[in-house]
Amino acid sequence: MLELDSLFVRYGGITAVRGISVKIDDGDLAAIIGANGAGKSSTLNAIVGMVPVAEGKVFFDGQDVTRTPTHVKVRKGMVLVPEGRRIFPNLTVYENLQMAGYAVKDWKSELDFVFTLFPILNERFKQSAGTLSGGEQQMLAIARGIVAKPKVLLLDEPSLGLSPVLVQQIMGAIKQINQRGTTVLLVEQNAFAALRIASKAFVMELGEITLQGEPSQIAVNEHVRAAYLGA
Amino acid sequence: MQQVINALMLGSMYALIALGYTMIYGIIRFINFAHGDVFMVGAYIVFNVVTIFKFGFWGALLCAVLGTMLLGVVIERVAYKPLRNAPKISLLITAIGVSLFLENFVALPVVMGSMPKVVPSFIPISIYSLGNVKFSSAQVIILVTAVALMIFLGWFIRSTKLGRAMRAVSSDYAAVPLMGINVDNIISMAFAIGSALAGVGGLLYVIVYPEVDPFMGIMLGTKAFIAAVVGGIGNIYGAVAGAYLIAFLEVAMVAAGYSMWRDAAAFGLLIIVLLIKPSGLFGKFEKEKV
Repeated sequence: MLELDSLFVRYGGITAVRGISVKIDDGDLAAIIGANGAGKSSTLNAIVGMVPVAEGKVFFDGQDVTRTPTHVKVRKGMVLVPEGRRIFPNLTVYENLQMAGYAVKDWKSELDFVFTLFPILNERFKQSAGTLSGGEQQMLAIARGIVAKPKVLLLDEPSLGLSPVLVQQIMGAIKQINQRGTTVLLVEQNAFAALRIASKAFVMELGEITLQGEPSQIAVNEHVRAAYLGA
Repeated sequence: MQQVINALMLGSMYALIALGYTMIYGIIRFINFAHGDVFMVGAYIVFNVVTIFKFGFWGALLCAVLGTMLLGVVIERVAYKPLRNAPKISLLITAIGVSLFLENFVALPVVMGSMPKVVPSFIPISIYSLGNVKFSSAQVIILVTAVALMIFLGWFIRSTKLGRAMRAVSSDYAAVPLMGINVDNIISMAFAIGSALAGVGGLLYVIVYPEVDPFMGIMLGTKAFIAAVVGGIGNIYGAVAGAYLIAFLEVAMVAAGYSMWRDAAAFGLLIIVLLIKPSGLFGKFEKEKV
């Protein structure tokens, strides 16, 4: 359903992503793990069109969407929960969700699911989003992703800066979103947390995919253990 | 008391124009220096439709609103949109260019000519008196129109889908496409609304001062810009407050017999506010995002 065909991303003279090819099937919970600067965020941003694709192609549901503008991709069902949450701090929690539902028919239908996942957002409904804690902001960012009714939900470092308990809660929520039928592509530095929930994993280093396969196999790979799992 | 009415009139006009500055700044962090000239074009549209077609208030209002709306959107699409990712200084210089173009285009002999023109009276004027204060129906129209528009704009920004989207663009421009929203449309709408307010400003202006000239937008635009900055640019309530503050200050200077000093007083107020509270009366300090 989402396919990257030898994708390159360049910033001026620097090549951040070097011809990666990735295929994600309907219902997958795919994880791209890798260190800081490996090109994971660049990959996600290029998929949704936040940064231009230098070479290669992006296919979504069989269609070439390499040059499709971001807002059109979102309407087609490709939704990114960006790194650093990017919630609108001067809008309330409710208004943030409303924004996510801007282009969606009947956006309120997802609110029940959102509040079962993150009951705290229901309590903070009328509060301005800037006053939320970091964890709550991440929950709101993911909630916005749900409200947009994606076919594929892309998540960029959702565990960044969160306590271990919160990381667990967020990962659990991502798993539930996937079990409800949404395909998920998760990008994480926290390899341990990501591999626990993923159904398919990719290891990214210096702009290239160096390893891919079953998360359980990746987790026991010696190189990965040494580099990312601290074992 | 008569002076208070004068100040309210002047302040209403400043406010309508200041709202356009502050809205556009709030959304794309850019001062549209051609905004005062959009006001001028609005006034000329009124002049033309009331002299040629003998339109009354509503006809003139409709034409001024539609005309300036279109002008604002065209200016944005043609002059500013190609520079969306260019340095801010290029945008600023382009805005000055657009401003000079509009002034001198209107001043061309084949267009309107550079001489001031008198606008014939197009609304019935009656004078009311309340105690020893006299006011005209024109003044009532101006105040009611301006206040109604301000309340409408406040409601629009606060409670409508588009208004929310505008606040979202103002808050995090780059994250808005991720909500499935075409930012270009939101920016166009901001220009349409801001320019329409300037158009209404032009209409109200020629009701009180029935004369148009191609350079009338410079001083009024500058004053409205000061009002927006004094109130805290980007903040619509600040723009209104700043507009009335400047108007009252100017009228007070005139009433006190220092009419030569009115402009100096307005600019002096700007300097004082910038020294004491650089973000304006209602503004919040925000770091320029890199």
